[in-house]
Amino acid sequence: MKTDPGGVANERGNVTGILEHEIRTCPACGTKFSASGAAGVCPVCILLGAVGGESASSKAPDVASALEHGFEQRDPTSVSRRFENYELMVDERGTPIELGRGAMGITYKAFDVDLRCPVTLKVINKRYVGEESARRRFLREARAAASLHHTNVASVFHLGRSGPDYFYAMEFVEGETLESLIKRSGRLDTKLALEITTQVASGLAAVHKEKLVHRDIKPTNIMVRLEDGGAVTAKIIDLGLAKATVHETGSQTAISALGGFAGTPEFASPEQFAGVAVDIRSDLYSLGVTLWQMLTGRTPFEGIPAEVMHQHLHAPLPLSRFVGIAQPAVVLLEVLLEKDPKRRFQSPAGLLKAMPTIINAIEKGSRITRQSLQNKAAPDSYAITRSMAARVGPKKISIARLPVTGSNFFGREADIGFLDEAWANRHVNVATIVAWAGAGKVHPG
Amino acid sequence: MNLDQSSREGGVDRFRTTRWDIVLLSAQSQAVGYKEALAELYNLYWYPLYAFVRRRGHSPEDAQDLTQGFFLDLLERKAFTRVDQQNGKFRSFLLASLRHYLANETRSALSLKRGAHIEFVYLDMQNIQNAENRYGREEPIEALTPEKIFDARWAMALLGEARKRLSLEYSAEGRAATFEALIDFLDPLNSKKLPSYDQVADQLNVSVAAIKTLIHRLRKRYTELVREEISRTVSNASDVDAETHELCEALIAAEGRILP
Repeated sequence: MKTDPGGVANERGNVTGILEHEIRTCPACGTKFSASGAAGVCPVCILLGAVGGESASSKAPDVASALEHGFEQRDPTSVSRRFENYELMVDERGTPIELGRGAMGITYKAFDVDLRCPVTLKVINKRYVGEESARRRFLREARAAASLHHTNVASVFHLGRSGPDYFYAMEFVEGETLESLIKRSGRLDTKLALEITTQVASGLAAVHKEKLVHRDIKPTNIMVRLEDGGAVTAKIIDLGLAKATVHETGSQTAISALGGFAGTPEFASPEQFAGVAVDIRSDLYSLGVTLWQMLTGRTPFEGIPAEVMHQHLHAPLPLSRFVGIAQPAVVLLEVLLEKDPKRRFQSPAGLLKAMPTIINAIEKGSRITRQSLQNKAAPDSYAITRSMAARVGPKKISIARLPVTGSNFFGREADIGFLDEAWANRHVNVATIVAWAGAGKVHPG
Repeated sequence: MNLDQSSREGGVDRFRTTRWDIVLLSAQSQAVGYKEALAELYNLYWYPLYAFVRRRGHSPEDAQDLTQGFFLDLLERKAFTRVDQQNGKFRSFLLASLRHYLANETRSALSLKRGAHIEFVYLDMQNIQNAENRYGREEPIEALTPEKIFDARWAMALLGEARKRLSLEYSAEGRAATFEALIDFLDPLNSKKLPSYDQVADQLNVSVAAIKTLIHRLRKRYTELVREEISRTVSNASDVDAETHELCEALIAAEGRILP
């Protein structure tokens, strides 16, 4: 009797007529196995799961080797497809399905053999975390990312290590990347683009809440799924570059050791290029570039990286490209793409508050002003415009912000910071400090 | 020499962690209890030997005699004198010893042994009776060498033993229901109509999140036991992974024709 020639799952091996046994093909490693085997589980997967235990030798699957030599060159049954309970999924040719490739490593479609569901598996290039202190920071920050749960953010739910290398498993998001959608559409309808922007801003609000910065918001890191009836779901993926915005005590700081610039030049904020500390406003800038590409099919600044960097830092926005695009959307882009972070929305929440104004104006065909947008965002913002000057005084700074008694000169850092920002904001002409006599209005610091 | 290396309390696992290297040393030194320890290991893996003999063309009756005769040969320490000190794998040792035994054993010698009314006390007779049925259900793989098929059968026997131990562990801890409810979830292609996580969570009176954790732990423990089983059959801990990969290769080549 000849052996089975095909590769289909669920064959029937009828041998003697006594009993049929089902032969399946494991979706993870491609091995054919008897369905009546040990617990009906692919025996090779079980055995490979046993490789690399505490007393394991160096023959355990080597992620670094897989990265350096490439999976394509390896035997389809290679053990390096296994990362703990995750198996890389393969196409018809037996090649692992690659979802993306970047400086940090390679992203694959994988299968969680425990939970029987697809996942996204990112294998981190060891060169990226090649230094022990950086590796520790990466681990801590990956943990922070794993604590983030939001409808518009793909969850990171497992961080694994193989030797010196790391991989992490993320929620697998059905759909396509925003980049793919833009490419096949040319440019997106304004309403759809704003809806995606709103959802991404909502996800960024969750990122902000965890005191993280994504640092690489761009169309390839946003998955979208268009539903029948026009509804859309957008999710931020790949928190691989996410870093903590707050410095912790001791020597544990953000991923500075990973290099000065992290991100994608076309979508990076001016402050990312400048190498200074970035916060969530940097992500809002990148979201602005993303919105720009959704509406025009192109990024605002193009060229070699050095040219792109220079334009992000110094060049005015090429607003002349906007033809036939609703004015409120253009105003939104102007705010998002301010080179000075202080003049943007100060948080994703601020942007979210402004979005209804923009959408309503577009629906009504009316125009809006920048002031009206940032007026909406004011509760979350210290960036104050001329038109709000009348409100800047007692109502905004308020007595509540000042010491209750006139004798306390300490704990005014927030107030002083507020005044510094107001001073730097060209839209603020007057700042009035109201307090009791002797509270220290003349010498607040 | 203490042959029982069990780390668990109670009698369930008395010889569960008996290691091949210790048995080998004790057999060569004729330590007390080595026969029982050897029988414990042999019983787990004798079917691949039986099938190997059958594949060499022997009738079912002769295969049973030869398999048991071989075991007696082991017990009489004859085979241990031929152990290659460099080859510390129980699997390799058994196969090499069996081939040597088959080459030297004659029909008349077998008859003599049968006529001598030697009592085969160590092997499970029920298993022997079932073996032929099992052998008949398996599909021959003409492209594979008998040795490769032997290795694949060995791997399946090993996995089966690990699964049995897993089941016993859960039962011993009063969690047999958990084991039964979750074991099918380890199969990514399970053709059975599996209940939803919600249903299983209700059945076990835990949360859905807990179900996922339990499945993860079940699988983790299963692979730990597999590793433990493999480590029992090699003399050197550093050989465990190499042995595992060899078994994987055999299973991949067998293409699911080997039954548990």
